[in-house]
Amino acid sequence: MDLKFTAEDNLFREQVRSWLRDNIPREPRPVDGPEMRAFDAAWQLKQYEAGYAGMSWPKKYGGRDCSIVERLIWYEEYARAGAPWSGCMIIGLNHAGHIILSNGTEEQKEAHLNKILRGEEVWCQGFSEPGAGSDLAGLKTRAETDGDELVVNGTKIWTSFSSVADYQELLVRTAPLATKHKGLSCVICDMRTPGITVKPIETMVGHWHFAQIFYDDVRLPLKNVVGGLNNGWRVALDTLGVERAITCILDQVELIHALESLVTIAKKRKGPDGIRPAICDEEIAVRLATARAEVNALRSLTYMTVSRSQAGVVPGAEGSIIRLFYSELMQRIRRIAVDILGVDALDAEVEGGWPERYLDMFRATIAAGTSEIQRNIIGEQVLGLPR
Amino acid sequence: MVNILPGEEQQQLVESVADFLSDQLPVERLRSGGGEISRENDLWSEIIELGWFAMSLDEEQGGYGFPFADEVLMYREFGRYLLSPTILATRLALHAASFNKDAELADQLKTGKCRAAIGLIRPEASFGSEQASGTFYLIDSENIDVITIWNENGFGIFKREDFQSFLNVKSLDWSSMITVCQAENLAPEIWVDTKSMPLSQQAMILVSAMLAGNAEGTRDMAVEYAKLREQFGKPIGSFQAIKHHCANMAVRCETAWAQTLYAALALSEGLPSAQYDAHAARILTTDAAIKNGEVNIQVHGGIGFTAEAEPQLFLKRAHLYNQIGGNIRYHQNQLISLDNVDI
Repeated sequence: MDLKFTAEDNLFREQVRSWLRDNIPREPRPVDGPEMRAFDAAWQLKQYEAGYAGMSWPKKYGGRDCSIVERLIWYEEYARAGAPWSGCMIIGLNHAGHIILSNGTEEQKEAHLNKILRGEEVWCQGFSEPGAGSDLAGLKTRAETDGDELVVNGTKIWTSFSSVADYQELLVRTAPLATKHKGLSCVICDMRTPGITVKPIETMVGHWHFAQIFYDDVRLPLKNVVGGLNNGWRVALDTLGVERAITCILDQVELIHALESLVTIAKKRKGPDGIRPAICDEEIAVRLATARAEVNALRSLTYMTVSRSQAGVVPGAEGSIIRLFYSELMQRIRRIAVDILGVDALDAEVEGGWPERYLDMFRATIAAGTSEIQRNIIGEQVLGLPR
Repeated sequence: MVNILPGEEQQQLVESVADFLSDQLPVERLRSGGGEISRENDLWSEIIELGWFAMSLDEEQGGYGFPFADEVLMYREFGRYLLSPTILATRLALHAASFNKDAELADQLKTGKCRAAIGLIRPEASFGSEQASGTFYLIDSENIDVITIWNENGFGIFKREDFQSFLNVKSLDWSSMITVCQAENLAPEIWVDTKSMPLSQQAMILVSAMLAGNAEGTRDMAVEYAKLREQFGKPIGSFQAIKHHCANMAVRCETAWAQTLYAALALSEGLPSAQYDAHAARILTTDAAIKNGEVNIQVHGGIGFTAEAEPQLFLKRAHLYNQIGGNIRYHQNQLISLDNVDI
């Protein structure tokens, strides 16, 4: 047991630290439209050209294929440098690319992987439907075989980045509803295919990139199916345990920085009694102290998962523990911010927009598996409680 | 190599400790309660034989030279089996005596001729390197020779007989004997300040480990019960409310223990974040133990409220451990006053 990084690790850390310092974009990231895509694409390409894209992907497709520890170091330094989040590249990099890598045909890999790493392709996900959220296996968007094509009809909702996306990893029903998750297929959908209508949805924060998508006799090549017909559930819901665990360190370092900036705000601004700084208010101080402890624990949890991966243990349902803990911790921290800011929180943009970030965090315990579902998974798959 | 998980040898060590405890000191031993000193006293010579006090003491000082992390793994088991904190007091006193080059006291502690117990500082008491004054609580201090008390300033060993006006209170934790007493300008026999030796950080992490073991004990008990107990025709664990209680317990355990392991390694390796991480571990393990203890009673329903059942033993012990070396509020205050050096 140790926390020692080797000399090579430390050299790598120095290299990436100085590269990031010299290369991260200094201008603010546009939150919408073609400017946003251009910004994200440019930053992604820059990383690719320096050899820092696809850290766990094979070199054959342009990845770096480096060790777990190096990936850990990269994400730590990335967050420390305050580098912008991948934005609309995120689904291609964090999910679609992986499932194609693990399940795709060589043709699919050649067509997409390198472009994803270069920031030339934007992906979105088509999973949830108005009638299929937590019960995703009950989804109804169907795809009927017609020759060498699939004809898709139905609707998807909560799709992020669909208005700027080139491709979608689309989960469709290719066998009767009664077969539930056994009748689903994952298919690559070109977003320019005729019959697709994207209808943006405004969130309670006022922006985000949600949309509802309607599929009206959309024809997709059968060869776009990933991992075989009726195998979509396993393919699309691959938890990507190891990589997920490692990239969590990025979230965690970002969260430490966010929390410490909040501590600074609490030291600076007057608190509830209008006299002493907010940090002198005991209730605020205790909540900040506990948040500090929890944010460090998140880092320790990630190290533990990385340690398990190195020992060859494939991460399973325990991943739900980190996800649940992280999402609820983020919400707690945003809520503390609102209480620190007091009446000033009514100005949604105060102190860099903390109040808006509070509103934005309601999705953390809903998206990608609600916290109730996560608790069910922990109870059943980690603790062995009966269904 | 970054690895915060125990290796094979460490797992074997843990197993041997757990085997001894489940055999000789099972939790059932505490069921009679009523303030009796627990059976560890009867087994003192065996515990000495096992070398538990001197595990991480340097070999040059007569210890076994095990890494601190190994000791932390052991203390998790001690917590799981609800051991009296006397074992911790002896370990800390031994390290302090060795550090101060008091070979005679060290030897007496190692061989059981001198026995130590934990002392707790009441809020208005004063405590420092020169003296202790005011009211103190002693835990399981009958037939004990020295008392170990500490805070962020340092660690002191005091002679029990130098305290005055002893009065046994009706202990909240039936498995322990709590004695209130007075000190008047009492000078420590031995004093170690935290700058010269990280004894109070070690204590923080060892207590965290005990709390973590305690929290895991209640998690496992609740899960076990939820699988067995049936109502409305099925195990109560299939109902979401109960399932979620158990899931919450599991999350608290996992996060608290991961942080305890990290803190142990940070301290061993002398990382600048060690103090910060130790306080973090202490806060999370306390919260885990107390909340899990409370929820475990709830999951057990009516049975959970009885003296005969075990949930109450764990909860009361959790509250006892919480007070050792400053309770959770103390550690929260400390953590907010520090700077995060990892930024």
